[in-house]
Amino acid sequence: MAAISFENVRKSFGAVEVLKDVSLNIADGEFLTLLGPSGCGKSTLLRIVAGLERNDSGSITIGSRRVDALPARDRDIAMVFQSYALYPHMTVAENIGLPLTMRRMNAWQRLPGLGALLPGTRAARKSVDQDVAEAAAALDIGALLQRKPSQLSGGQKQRVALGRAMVRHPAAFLLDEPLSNLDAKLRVQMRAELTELQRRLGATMIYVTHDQSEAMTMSDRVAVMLAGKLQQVAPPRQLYDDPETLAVAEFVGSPKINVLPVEGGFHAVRPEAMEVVAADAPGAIAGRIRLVEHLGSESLVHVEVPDVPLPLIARLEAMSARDPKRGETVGLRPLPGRVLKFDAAGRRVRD
Amino acid sequence: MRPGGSILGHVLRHAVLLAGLVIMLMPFVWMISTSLKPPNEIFSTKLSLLPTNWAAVENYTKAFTKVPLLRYLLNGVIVTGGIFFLQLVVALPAAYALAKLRFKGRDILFTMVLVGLMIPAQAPAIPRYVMLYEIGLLDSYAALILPFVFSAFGIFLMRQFFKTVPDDLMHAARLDGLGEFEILWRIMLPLAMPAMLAFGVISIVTHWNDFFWPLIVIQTGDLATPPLGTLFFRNEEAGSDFGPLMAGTVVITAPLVLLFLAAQRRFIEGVTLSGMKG
Repeated sequence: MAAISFENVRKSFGAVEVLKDVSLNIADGEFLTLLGPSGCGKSTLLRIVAGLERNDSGSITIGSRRVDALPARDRDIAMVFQSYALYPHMTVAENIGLPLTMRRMNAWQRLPGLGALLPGTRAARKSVDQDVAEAAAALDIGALLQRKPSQLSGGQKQRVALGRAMVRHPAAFLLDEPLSNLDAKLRVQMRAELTELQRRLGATMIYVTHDQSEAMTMSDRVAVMLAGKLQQVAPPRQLYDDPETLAVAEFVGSPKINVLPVEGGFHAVRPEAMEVVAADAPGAIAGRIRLVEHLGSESLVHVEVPDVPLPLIARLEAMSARDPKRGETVGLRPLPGRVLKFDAAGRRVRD
Repeated sequence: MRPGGSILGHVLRHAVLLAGLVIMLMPFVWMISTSLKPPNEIFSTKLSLLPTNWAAVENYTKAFTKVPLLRYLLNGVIVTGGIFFLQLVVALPAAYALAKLRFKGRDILFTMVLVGLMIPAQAPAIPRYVMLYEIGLLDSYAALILPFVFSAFGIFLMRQFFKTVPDDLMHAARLDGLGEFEILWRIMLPLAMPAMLAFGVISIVTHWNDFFWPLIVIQTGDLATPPLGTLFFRNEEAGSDFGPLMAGTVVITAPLVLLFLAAQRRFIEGVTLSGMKG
């Protein structure tokens, strides 16, 4: 396992600059998530770490080695792809075993037929089989070893891809939206399993996703990336409560944070920090309720306010004494101390 | 069957298809029929598919004994097999590079392959002949094989197939420690089996049946490919003895028919480029 750091990494595809001066330090054993909308450059950054793309400038260090010039195979890194990228013509056991076969056996020993006659081949093959069985057992796919990928469900393919990544104990794991092809229920289950696996292996993981609930639930730290720039790197809680820029505040959190244009900047208030009060209460913003969403444990109240482009949203506990109705005119009032202030450029202003 | 189609429409469609079938198949049926008949029945004015007196045994025996038919068949196997093998050796790496690697001049190279596709085989025949003469390879297996080793069609077909293989598969392979040639050998090659088979059928049929090029470069009877062999057969040995000649052509055609039947399903998979499913 190893720490990973980027310094001033830049990358352009033609005239399009996808990574604009990205610097980041990831600690040994840390679960770091790169979070951002599609096209923000997060996958490109991951591919640069893996060695599948070259950075135009800047440097990448894994452990104590600078790896910019190293090909993918020499970086000691494993990756899990969104499409799983299992080799369709190989069995599960061969899929998981391939990275070991490539490292523990030389070119002659790998030859079909002839290789089996060479000294050391049998011992090497046996050690590979043993490690494959071990990884498969850890992921609960021991019974599937002789199947082909086409005979597996999405969740099983996912495990095989994980097995192929962890079997050779790499310095770090890179995961590129690994859960996005699973159904919602399995995704939640795999989320927990992945976190558990990462803790158990003590592995450094860089996890790329556009799904903020994945980022928030799994990571030690989340790096929010927008338009090729790192906006903020912080633990999930801090990212939500204490965003550095308006863009981060808006990207993280669902429903979206309420943004009120004010003199010289913006005020932003999370829906749960909005109180629903009488329209004429002191400090309240009056508006007409456009929609009430009942979600069981809570309700979301959408209020249309003149001069604010989007409706403001307040989150009400289901137990709340108030039961606002559509069309009613009410007041919204931020809870004291829960207003986040930003300047006109969207940078946070602290008191 | 379309539920709305009228019965008349069906009958008409089938009639047209049937007519086409008869036109396509008749020469072959006649070839087989003739190979079974004694000389006097071949030129009889009475039209019949089956002979009254069977001469199958004589005709086929003659075909194998009067000329070295087995030798011709062996030559055919050596030449088509050699061409196909070397075509793969050239086309697979070239197609992989054109489909999956990024390098300067790739698009120009691919355009050149496309241009190569459009040049008829006869056009470069004379320069090739002169080149083979200069290096003293005329009238040899090499003369039959080498000119066809670079197959623009093979490169094109394999490249189109490799294009359908997801990039992530190669990325995963690179991280797993495979070099480019190992990716080709361990990942791409097994996946490309249907396309290779399709290319194989096309290549083998083309070169097995090729009459033009062997006729130009081969003088020695022992090096004749099957179609060229039938020429020797008719001119020198059999004269107007059409029974054995037709028996010979049946023997020459049979391997191709068998090859296609054996490969049929995967051949169609290959040419339709049904692509990859994980």
